[in-house]
Amino acid sequence: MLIPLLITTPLLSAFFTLSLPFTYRKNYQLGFLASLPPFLIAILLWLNMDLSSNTLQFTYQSTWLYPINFGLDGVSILLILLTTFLTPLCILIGWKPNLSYPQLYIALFLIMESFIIGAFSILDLFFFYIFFETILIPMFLIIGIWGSRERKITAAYQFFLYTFAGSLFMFTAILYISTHFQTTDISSLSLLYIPFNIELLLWLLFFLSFAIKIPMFPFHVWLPEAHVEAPTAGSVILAGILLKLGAFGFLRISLPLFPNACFFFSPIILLLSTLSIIYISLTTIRQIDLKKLIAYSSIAHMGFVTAGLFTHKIESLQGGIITLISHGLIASGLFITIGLLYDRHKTRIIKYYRGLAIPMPIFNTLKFILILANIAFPLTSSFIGEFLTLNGIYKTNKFTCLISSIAIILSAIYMIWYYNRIAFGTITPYLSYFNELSKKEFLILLPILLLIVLLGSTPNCLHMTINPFVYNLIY
Amino acid sequence: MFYPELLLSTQTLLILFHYSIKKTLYLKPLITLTLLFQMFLQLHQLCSPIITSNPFFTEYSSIEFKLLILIASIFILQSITKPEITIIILLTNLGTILILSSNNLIPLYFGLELLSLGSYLLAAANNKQKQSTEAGIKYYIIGGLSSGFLLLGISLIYGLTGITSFNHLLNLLPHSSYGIQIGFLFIIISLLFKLAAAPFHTWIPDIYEGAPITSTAYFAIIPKLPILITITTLLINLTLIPIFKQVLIYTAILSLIIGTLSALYQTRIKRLLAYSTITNIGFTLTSLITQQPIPTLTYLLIYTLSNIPLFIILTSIQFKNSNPTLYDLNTLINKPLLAMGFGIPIFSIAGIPPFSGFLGKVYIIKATIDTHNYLILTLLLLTSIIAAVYYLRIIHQLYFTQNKNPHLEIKLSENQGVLLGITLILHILILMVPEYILYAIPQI
Repeated sequence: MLIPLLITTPLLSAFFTLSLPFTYRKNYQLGFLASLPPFLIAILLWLNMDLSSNTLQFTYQSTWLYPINFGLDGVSILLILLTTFLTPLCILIGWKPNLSYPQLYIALFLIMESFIIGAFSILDLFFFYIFFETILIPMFLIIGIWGSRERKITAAYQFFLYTFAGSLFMFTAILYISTHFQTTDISSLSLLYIPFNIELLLWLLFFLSFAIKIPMFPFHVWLPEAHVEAPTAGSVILAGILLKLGAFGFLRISLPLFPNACFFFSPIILLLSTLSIIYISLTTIRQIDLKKLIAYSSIAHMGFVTAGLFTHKIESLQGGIITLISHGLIASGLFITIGLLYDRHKTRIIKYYRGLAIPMPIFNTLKFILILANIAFPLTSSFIGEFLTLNGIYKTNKFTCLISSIAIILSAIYMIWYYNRIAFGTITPYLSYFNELSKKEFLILLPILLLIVLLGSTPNCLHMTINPFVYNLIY
Repeated sequence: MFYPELLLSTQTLLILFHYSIKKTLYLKPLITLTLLFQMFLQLHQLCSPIITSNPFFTEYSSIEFKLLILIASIFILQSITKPEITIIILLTNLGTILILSSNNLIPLYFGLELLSLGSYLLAAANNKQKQSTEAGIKYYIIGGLSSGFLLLGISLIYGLTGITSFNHLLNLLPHSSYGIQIGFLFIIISLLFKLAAAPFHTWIPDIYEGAPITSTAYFAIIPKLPILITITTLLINLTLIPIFKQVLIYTAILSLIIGTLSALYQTRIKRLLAYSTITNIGFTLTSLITQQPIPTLTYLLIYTLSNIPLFIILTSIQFKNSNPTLYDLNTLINKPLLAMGFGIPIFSIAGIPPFSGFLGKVYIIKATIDTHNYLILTLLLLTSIIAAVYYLRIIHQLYFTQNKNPHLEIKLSENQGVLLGITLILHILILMVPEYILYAIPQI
């Protein structure tokens, strides 16, 4: 019963905020408060999870409209926690006096939160598709309405059309399944026998959709555009959660339902992942836009995730999942810092920033921790993820491991150089004033940083949660 | 013996009589009441059907669609000021209801002619404007041509067999000759003309554009329902699909391609909606090929339901000229609720999930997968991706950038506001409880 509550709470508060007359302070307070209960419910769910059993938990069958099953496993509860943790932060980021349509802003984020939770917790392919696709509308509006430049429209179109085109493939696959197997329930489908060639076809159709969403190397074009043009909070949700939806699709659908096809296609996935890791890392080095740089680096990190998911080793699966979570935190933090700079100086070109360490020391300290986290420095959560992933890949394919570990050096190059250009040197002549972080901004960044370090130093809490799921998948 | 149709025609004639004496029409509430009474009668029919052995009409058929048409016409009448147009709309309503209850080729022809004659007049309703008159004449010529085809087909069938009743034709068809088949081909082509399926579509953009916006709303919402239902009954009840499969496939494919590609670079709203209609007709025809009436009718019902809020808002905006462009929609940017009311049906037509249009798409694509029409399936997917582009362009104008056009006035009456709310809520509810809409589709 808690899962439907988790889904409907943000939706109801969204309609509530839309229906109220607008007063600047009250609405934001209300929106922020309304986004907190889902987080509390998610924590409650996490604490009450039975970590010893490998079955789905908190299963709930809705009897109202259709018999739909909801349920949580280790991965989905973590991703739901991430979603519910980031949404209040997004609303806080938008708490600015000059924001247009503030009510719509709060409402869209809350609606999106509810649909994302739905996608993470539903156990039916058809309704998974509905949730997966619905998220496009609020995100499209967020990029289009609160984006910063004229190019936002192209970006919004690209985002929408790429994902829409990809998910139509998934749609046909789901309808094919529903006509041929008479059910779209994931747990009953996993018991059915699917002929090998049909499995391959279905896997490919699902793969296209998820690969665009993650995004993998040949389908990644929309992501940098969307990131650059989206408002800060939009980028946070996009990098923090929406990219995870693709990987979650692999974990929830492709791996359990089409295990043979996953095994069959794993070489090509590894190839694409390593290509995406190396090629995108090299592209990242050349970027001159703050946001684009982080956007490209997140594609490279997603390459690690896909490589980890499809090597069929326990370590790499764990690593992939932990990378997902940690990247959700780190990329969000980095996008928030960039948003802070952009709000102050209205530019994202690296050239105009130099020597920020002297006037803004707190900001730069926080940013430096985030940058260390992004290059998988020990004691941060992403180190655990990447280390485990590479460990798993080494066991299956040494050459791939060698190539992908080059990316660790490359990521250090682009992140450190990026920090070097912004923070050090003489103070830039292009900017005339500098403001240190306000209390609100500091409090937005602090929980993210704490979580990154906490998860990096005690990764056991993540391991405990995902282990039943991982063992269930491998054995 | 109780004829709702007969009653409707007498009511209409009485109103006409009253108007010709008094020269003014204070009777708007009365008209609404008569239509409501009609609805009540139809509901009564639905609850306790009286099946009579009438050779021309079956009273108990597609009553749900009649109800929908009556509701839609009540609300179209709200935005009309000229009394003569009101009477014409009442007469065309009579035509649609005749079509829906006809069980014979002759009353089918009567109904279609009544509907089309009224439509020609509606297209030319704004007689002070050149374009509107032009649209009326164009519509008249093309409609007359297609009616001629229909009559030719009917007379061929009647001449060869001496039968016009559907029930008798059903027994006859297995032994049909080429002559009868050609007769049916003429009938179907004429109906496709009226539907504006692709090779016969050229009239629709001009007429949508030229006609005043209330008439365009009428064309977009009402005539398609009875005509598509007639095609469905003809093809499926008389088992004509194996014979005309090729015709249907070509028209469907052409409608999909032409509709999407020509709408891509349209900037005029009415033309864009006309082309989107062609695409959607293509969608409905594809599921007819698979011999399944339910996807077709569900899709059409939902498409009609999406058109109602769109046109309510379009009629309420006081455009400066008669050919509003997409950029004029930018006035809605200051009214977020109305913009939402315009955006939701657009997303629904594009087939994005939480809205009802998605359900129609599910039915159609599932039908094509069921019957292994993979070529048509790929075409459907491709066109729906491309079509999303021009639907997104509308959303773009609603929300994203404020252009320099002066803001237009918006007059939304209370009744229209209520209907807007109801249709928008329906858009969300239908996906939640599709059993009811399936129940509303008559068993053909």
